[in-house]
Amino acid sequence: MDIFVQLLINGLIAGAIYSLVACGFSLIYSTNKFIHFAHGGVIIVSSYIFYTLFSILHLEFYLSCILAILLAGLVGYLINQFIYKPFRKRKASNSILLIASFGVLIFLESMLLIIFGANVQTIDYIPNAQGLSVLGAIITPLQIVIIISSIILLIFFYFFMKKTRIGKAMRAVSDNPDVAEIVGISASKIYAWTFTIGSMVAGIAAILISLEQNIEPSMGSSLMIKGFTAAVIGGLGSVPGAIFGAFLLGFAENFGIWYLPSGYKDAIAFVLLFLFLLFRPNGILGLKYNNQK
Amino acid sequence: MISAYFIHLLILIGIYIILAISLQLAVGYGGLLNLGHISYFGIGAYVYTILLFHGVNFWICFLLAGFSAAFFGWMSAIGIRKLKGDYLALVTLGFSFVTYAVLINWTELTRGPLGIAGIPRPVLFGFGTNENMVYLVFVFVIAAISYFFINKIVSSPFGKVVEAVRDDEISAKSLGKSTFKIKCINLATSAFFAGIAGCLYASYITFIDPSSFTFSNVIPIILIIIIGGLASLPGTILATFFIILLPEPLRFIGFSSSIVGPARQIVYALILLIVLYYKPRGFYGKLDLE
Amino acid sequence: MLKIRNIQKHFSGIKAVDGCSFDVEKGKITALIGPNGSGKTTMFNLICGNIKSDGGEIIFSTPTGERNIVGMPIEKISNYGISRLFQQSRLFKNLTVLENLLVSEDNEDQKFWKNIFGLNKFDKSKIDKANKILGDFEIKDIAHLTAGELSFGQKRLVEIARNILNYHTVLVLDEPVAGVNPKIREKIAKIITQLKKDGETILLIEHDMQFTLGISDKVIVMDAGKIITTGTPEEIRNNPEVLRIYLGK
Repeated sequence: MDIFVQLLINGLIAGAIYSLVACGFSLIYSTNKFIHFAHGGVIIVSSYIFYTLFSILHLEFYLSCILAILLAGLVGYLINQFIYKPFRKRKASNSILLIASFGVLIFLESMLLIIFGANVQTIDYIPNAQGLSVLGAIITPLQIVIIISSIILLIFFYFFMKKTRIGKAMRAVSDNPDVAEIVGISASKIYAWTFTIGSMVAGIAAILISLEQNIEPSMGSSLMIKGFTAAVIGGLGSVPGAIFGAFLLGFAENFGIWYLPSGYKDAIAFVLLFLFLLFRPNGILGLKYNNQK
Repeated sequence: MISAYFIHLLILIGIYIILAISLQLAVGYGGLLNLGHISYFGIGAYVYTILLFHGVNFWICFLLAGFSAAFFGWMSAIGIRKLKGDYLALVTLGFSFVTYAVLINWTELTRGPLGIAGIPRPVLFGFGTNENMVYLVFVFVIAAISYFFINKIVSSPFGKVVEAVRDDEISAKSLGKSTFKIKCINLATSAFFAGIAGCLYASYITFIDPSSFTFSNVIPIILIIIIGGLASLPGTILATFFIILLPEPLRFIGFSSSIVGPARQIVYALILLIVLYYKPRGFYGKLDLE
Repeated sequence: MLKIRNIQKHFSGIKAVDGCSFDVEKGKITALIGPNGSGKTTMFNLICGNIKSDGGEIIFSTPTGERNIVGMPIEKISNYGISRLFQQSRLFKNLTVLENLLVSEDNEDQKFWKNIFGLNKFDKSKIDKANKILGDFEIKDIAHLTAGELSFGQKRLVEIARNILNYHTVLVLDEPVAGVNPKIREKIAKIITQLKKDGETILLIEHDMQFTLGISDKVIVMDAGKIITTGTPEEIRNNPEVLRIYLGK
């Protein structure tokens, strides 16, 4: 029982982090329709930005957070502007864009390696206080903060997409860019906006990740695998689906290592990804979505 | 007198030529954007090493390394039979993560992250290959044989069917081709040569660990086939020389070794982006990546 | 030759093909006509195995007896002897015209081991066969062009050639003359007339009524997934129902 509750909580924490990763990725996918693998790179760069601001420059915590999120948005914006936009103009295929995004990811990771070295870095903001005991499982205050803040963010994000003008325009472009152009929404502007906002969500994910665990330059691709898997489980391009997928993945991983060595965590994500792509390529929510049409 | 370092580079080039032309078979000719090629390389290296330490004859190890990689190639073809394009790319990328996870966790067999050291160089027809110059000859003979076979495949009628499946799978089926079987054979063959390359790598470096077979190691190979041009074998060979030699000056500018690795990756990433943008068909490519 | 019995296909509630039955007779040209969206191409997809039917039977006289081919994979149906021309161009765009034809001739080229030891070449008889048809179609000059470089009309000709070379007992042609210029249309019409003389069995979809009624032996009219009427071209020409469907109510 104790183990079960502990794994449930661990799954919840992992799911909360993955959902932020998947949410930004899925938003970008929904309008751009290609796999922006470098999203993982944006996350890890943002973690290091946060690390630099807070642990090296000793800025105030909340100021560091805000700056890190804004800079994450800027990184996303620049990647779109200088890499993807030219490719899009050339009508590059999705495979080319995917490989280009690998190039971007490798570039970002290697830059971090050169600047910060391969060693792991830790950010001590909330000291690892005595964990609280919940039904026999241990959860630290930080982890509670992570779960709560990610849920608040996801709700906030939901209303942003439903209620604001930019959010509505994004959904319009994701449904049909040509029709959106006709009613006066510039698709190219919306691409830029989704990259910026998606990357800001990545920035938030980055901060939570770097508070919870050590950061290292090679984390990007592994995180991205999780985000992508979550997005596929939920149906690519559907933000609510991605969040659902993220929690499912979080639980699957944590319950999976009940039986398997913990080193197989990444492999579990892949097996799930594989099964979904083979048997349910539209994701769990995909079918419902089709029926509504 | 060729310097020892240059021989080292040539051996690497020989190994990468095998890796790249075998990937070319899958990606360029078969249209299967396989990002998990490095796992066949790893499987080959491990199967070879483990069998060798169990006292199996070199040539048997060598062939079994190839065949076991081919087996996994066949399996992956079954897995990706319904996928194409970027989805296929990501699932095959997934295979490399799964392989890595298994290599690092199955410690009884692979010694996990510690890796396996002290892999002996083979003695071939009475010649020891401890001398790098001799090993270089061996690598180039194997590379030449690999090139011969792959060239044979792609220029034969079978090769045309492989290309037909790449261009339009439904159309190929409508002409009565078992496209699934063709994809299986294609990936298995491609994996076979990658496994052989893995075996050459293991016995050259004399040490293997899972980190040599990760995702970041696949980037240079992808880069080679794109720069060489899809479905062009001579282009691939030219590109292998180019890509392996290009970052070498970094070493001589006086960067420390911890910088050289990432700096090389940056060079690769930048070239990849530039080539994809300005010359997506590479040196001699005849078709676009779709 | 080909007996379609009560075949059904629904797409999320819409009945694309709704209980159709008809026969394709040996040595005859059977045409399937009807307005856009009436289910003709869906019918072809069902016959050739590109989509799975929701019910009904398709009985095909294969060399080894009559078989229900519903649910069989595309390549198996093709190898039983149905050769299909798609509505859109589906050539292998990076292969040359000649290679496109050679690949379609038989399935020897799938044999890997024979190929790897060089025992399997596109032998002279195959190349001659391909060249002969290129000659017949008067397109020998484009034999070594890459299929992707051809004009639409040329692509159409090569595809028809490919269908003829591919082993078949029935040719299933989806709009062979749609969208080509008058000169090539003339040529394709001549080719199909010649095929008819040679005793080929053809199932045809074509929007061009003049062309279709002029060439076919039997016409089947579809509307909204159902067969409205069947008859000789003469009967169809004078059928008020058909006029109503085509000209609108």
